[in-house]
Amino acid sequence: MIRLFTYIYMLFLYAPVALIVLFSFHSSPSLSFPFEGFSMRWYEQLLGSYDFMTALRNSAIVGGASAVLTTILGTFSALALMRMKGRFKSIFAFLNFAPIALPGLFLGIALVILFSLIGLPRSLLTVIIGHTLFTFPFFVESVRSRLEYFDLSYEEAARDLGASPLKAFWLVTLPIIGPTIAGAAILAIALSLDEFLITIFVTGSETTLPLLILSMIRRAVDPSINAASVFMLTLTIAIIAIAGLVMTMRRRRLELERAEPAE
Amino acid sequence: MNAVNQSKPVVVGAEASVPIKTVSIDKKALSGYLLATPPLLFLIIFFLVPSILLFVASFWTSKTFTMIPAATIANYARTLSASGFYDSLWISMQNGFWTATLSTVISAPVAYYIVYKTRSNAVLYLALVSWFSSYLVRVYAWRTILGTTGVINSTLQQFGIIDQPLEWLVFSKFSVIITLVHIMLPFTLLLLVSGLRDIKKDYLEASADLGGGGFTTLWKVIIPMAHKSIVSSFMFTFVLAASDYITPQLLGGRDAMTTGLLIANQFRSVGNWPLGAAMAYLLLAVFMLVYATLLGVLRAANLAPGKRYHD
Amino acid sequence: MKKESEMGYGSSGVDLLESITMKRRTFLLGAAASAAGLYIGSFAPGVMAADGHLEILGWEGETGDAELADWRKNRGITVRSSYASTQDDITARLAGTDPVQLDLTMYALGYETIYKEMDILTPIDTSRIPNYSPDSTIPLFYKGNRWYWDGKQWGIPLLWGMNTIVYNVKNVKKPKVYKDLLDPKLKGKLTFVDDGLSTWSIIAIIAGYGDKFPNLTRAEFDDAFEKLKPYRDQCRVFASSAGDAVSLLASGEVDAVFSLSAFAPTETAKRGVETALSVPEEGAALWCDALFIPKTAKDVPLALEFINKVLEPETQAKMATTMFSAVTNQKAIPLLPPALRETFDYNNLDSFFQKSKLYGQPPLSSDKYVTYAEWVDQWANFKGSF
Repeated sequence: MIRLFTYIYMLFLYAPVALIVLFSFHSSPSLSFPFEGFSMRWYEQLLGSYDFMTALRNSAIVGGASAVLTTILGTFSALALMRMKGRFKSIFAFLNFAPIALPGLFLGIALVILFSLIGLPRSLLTVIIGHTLFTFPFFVESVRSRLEYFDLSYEEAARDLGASPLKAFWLVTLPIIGPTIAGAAILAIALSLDEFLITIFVTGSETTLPLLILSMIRRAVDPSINAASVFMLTLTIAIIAIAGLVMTMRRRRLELERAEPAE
Repeated sequence: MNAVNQSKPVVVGAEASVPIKTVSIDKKALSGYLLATPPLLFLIIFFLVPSILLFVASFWTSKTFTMIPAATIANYARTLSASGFYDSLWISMQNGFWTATLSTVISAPVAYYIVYKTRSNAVLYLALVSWFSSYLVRVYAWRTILGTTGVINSTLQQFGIIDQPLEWLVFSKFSVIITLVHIMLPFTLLLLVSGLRDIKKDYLEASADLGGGGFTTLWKVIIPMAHKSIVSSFMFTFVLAASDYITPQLLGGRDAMTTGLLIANQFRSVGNWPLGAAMAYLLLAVFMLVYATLLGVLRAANLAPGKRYHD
Repeated sequence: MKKESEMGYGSSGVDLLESITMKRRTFLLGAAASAAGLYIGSFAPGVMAADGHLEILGWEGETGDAELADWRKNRGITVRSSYASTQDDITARLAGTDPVQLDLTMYALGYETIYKEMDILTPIDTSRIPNYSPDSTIPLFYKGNRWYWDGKQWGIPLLWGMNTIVYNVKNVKKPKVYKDLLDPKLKGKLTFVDDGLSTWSIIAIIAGYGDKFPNLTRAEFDDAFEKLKPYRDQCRVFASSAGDAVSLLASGEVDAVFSLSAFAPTETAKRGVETALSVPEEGAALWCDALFIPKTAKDVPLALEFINKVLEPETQAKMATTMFSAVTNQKAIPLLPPALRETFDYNNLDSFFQKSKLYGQPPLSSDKYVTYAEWVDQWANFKGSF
């Protein structure tokens, strides 16, 4: 029964996505039924659009850079929270969560004021900082709940056997929390690709994908936004599939090298 | 560190083992603080400092996108004396509550399935991937599904189940919440899966061996042990759904005036940043109140133990 | 503070200290920024061309991307256009003490009040724009007070159009006055576009204060919103943008829009729904987008050259055709397709402008009249039925 529920759950998640894919091939500019026929025109329009390619590139840069930054900072945070205790831990934990409890626009304006003060002109770099701030709480929270009951004695055991702290982390902790970090990093990219409330304030004249979509729907909504979404989705699936494959292969190799007990 | 650890197995006596343990705890805490430094610096520079600047500015006055230093509580007073603020807050809180409750409840069985029934992460990753279909595009897709001439209405009409399109399907609280739930699900799922991963199957089996039924196991073992991820899943979703104003605007019909939109008006259109900041801080206070209430309720129901289970 | 403790070394000491800290700070930031810039720049094809570069932020379709491709090539310059989805997006870029570098951007009618107060506009040297002149420009758009004050030109009108009733031809009888929108048949089928400025003037018109807008007293203002309530009761949803209103019309969610730009019928027709414009007896509201050179402009001469270029009759006609809007250069009128020419009634512009006006924005601060901020608040309350 629980399996059936999972199927329904996935159906609910993917039904709108299926509709987005379907209408991205619509021959008419309409986004509602009746469906009039298939056409590739929206994809052709996008691929021929300099604006779209630029926005896609900008979003990829920002998504990638902010995900890397978030993953590094966030992993530090999660590992720190695991080891900390008492009052300082609660304060630090709250600070990790707080950026999300303030509206995106608030963060955008707060950052603009800060950037003005330190003389940092608005560019993709400031967008990366803004997005890292936004995705950071999500990342820490997803990794943290995994680490909440993580038994530090595993790592200590590795240390007892003479492993350096870094090696102990690499060989013991990372394989256990790896999938969670990967999941959280995917999440960070997804969040970054959708963010526009902060972006509008902290960007210079660079356009990201959601900003482009917003300007596209100002005058009329048509399937080109669906095509953009499908394009993004396909690209992501490809990247994740490749990354997954590489990780699985690496894992297999590691497993062959040392008969590691299953998690 | 190595020296300490190496001496660990050599237990000389009770009085000797005590200082050793203290040293190792201090080292653990110290490494915690060291690890916390880079993210802490980042948060201080890019979050704490600017937020404090805006907090100070919330006591200032403004003239069209220019903030003028002052010391006045007028912005707070004005916000709290406007009835529209409470009305919009009520709508926001409802959006937050229903979205958070539904997302968490619906995701829980799936998280259970992922952790205990199948050992693969495929379902989780598949759920996460659905997030890559742009937020705005998904909101429009929901219109196509729920609209007066949308997928559901026309299908039901075709099969003769209804004569007239169902009015409440779109531009209603229902359409806002179903869309927000759809947007939040992958995230609540990720948090719940992370939380459940730490409850080893042995505990559930032990509970069953002791005669605990499915419900008892859920109530006495799973929820108390996973309460932190349940709370964070609920709170994150609550906060995000309650401050969202795009989905309510596009799908909420006339019930769409959320506090997020009022704040956006001040930040974007009027350019009264001090007033917008004051509203944002009031909203933050409300969120903290919700968090405290949630914890209180869970504690009262004995679902949130103060102590860790296996330390 | 630290500064004071350094006073003993004389003022030069302070300067030195400041300059050192400044240098280090700037250096670090500069290093980080340039590293990132180098990386990012490696993707951008020739952002810095030899003969000049313009950074333009404007409305999609109004930045001459397609129309001026040949000119850019011949002239050997590059233009980077980015698009705004609301006027607030442009404001966001220019707000703060360190605004974004832009050579050219746009303001919709009414926003000149805000931008004037924000002090982000610069005077425009019209002698460098031969296409903006008494014999080219339609008189209403030449040196009008929305773009010209204190003896200086601050904005150059580019395109204009009107916001008026758009209705579904099949389901609704042509509304002749605004009251026709209260027809019980339109219950739940009417919508407003959530675009404050363009809708507010019509709110005033309906209540009979069209001549007074944007300066309404508190009593007139309250009365206007009171009189608007029956219209709100006809609505199930408010369209978040003009594009949103088009999709609501196209999917059959609504059959009439209170005030929508004239391009809507062509867009709904593409989606298989026939709609038409109706300018009611009370009149419609005009919109007008104007180009301006913000204070952060780097290449002002090139920006002026660009303005002159987009005002050329051929460019104007092409742009107006794709945007289904009206031109400000009358020499472009003969080049327009007939349907477009009729929509804006170029032959009887005087009477057209008599009926539909260019409205400004409520005052930013005033003791006598309701201010812009109060309009924004009330509009939000109105939408939420608070």
